[in-house]
Amino acid sequence: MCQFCAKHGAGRKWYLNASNFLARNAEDRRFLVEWNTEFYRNVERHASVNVKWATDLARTPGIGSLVRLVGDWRLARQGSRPPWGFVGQVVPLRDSELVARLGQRITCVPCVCRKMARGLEAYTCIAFDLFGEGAARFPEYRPRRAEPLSSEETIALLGEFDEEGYVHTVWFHPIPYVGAICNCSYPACQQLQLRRDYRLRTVLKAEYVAKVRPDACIGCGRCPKRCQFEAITLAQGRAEVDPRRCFGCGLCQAACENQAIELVPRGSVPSASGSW
Amino acid sequence: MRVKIDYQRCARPNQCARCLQACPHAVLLMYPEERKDGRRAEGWRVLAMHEALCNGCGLCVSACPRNAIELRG
Repeated sequence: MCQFCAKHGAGRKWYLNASNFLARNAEDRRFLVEWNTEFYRNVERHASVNVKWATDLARTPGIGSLVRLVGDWRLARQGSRPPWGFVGQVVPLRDSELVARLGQRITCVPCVCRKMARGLEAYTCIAFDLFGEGAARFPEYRPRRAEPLSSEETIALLGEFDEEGYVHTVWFHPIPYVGAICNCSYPACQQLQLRRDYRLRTVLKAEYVAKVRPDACIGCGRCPKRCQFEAITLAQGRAEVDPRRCFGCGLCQAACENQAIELVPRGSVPSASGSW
Repeated sequence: MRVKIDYQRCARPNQCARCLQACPHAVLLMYPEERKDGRRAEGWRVLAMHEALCNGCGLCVSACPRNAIELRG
């Protein structure tokens, strides 16, 4: 299990710990309202002008690894102001559905990244409770429908996003509170881009790794097309997953018509174990 | 590759966004002026946030209806 499960999971995964879904007391509630409002007030700036210096440094030879070290440490802390305390993790569809069952007052809000990077209005973010309330305060991020979605409606939406080939990610808003399930596509997703192109750990790999059963794979080539992490290659007519690159999102598994791909716990694969 | 944007020519990127959609690596981002309160942001600006990832393909240059983008280096 990842560092967040160890710290905020109470024996399970951090995003399946029900006490991470609601403010624990009145003081925390005030803090969450303030944090999430502030998060949305200049949300595009948190992910662009405000962090441009960090991305520039992260790609500077010599300094880059130091920036990543400090970044990892800083991102993993609660943080009294956004964007600090805003970290996420990739989850497969099945886990995202479990998260949807735990979420309170669920709304569907527009994706900030697709707006910034593509100029698109796409309702692909599932927001919970006070995070959704934060979004609703700003006209351009108001939910598609004011009244909350049921768990079943949310799960149906997640299924649609999965078919579109979007990677599901669960987010702290802020640590240790679970605020949202995003449905992301690289490179428009700013967090996946920071992770992949700058190796800044804004989003952790999932608790799983994909594994191909060679005897069941017919080499049809569907799964590598779905992978956003360039983790699957076709070699001698068989799909091969590089466990060091795999983020465990499970999109390849859903694409396979022969059930040749399974998701196994990250810890059970030596070359992927401990790689978050 | 340096991506130079002429802000005199690119005035309302949020109503256009053609360069954003053209870029295969999502090098360009747009961000609004600072919001002091809950009001909608008026002015938006395109920023070559991920300039380091630009391979100089020039698709943004040809997508821009106002010739506001120039690639250098």
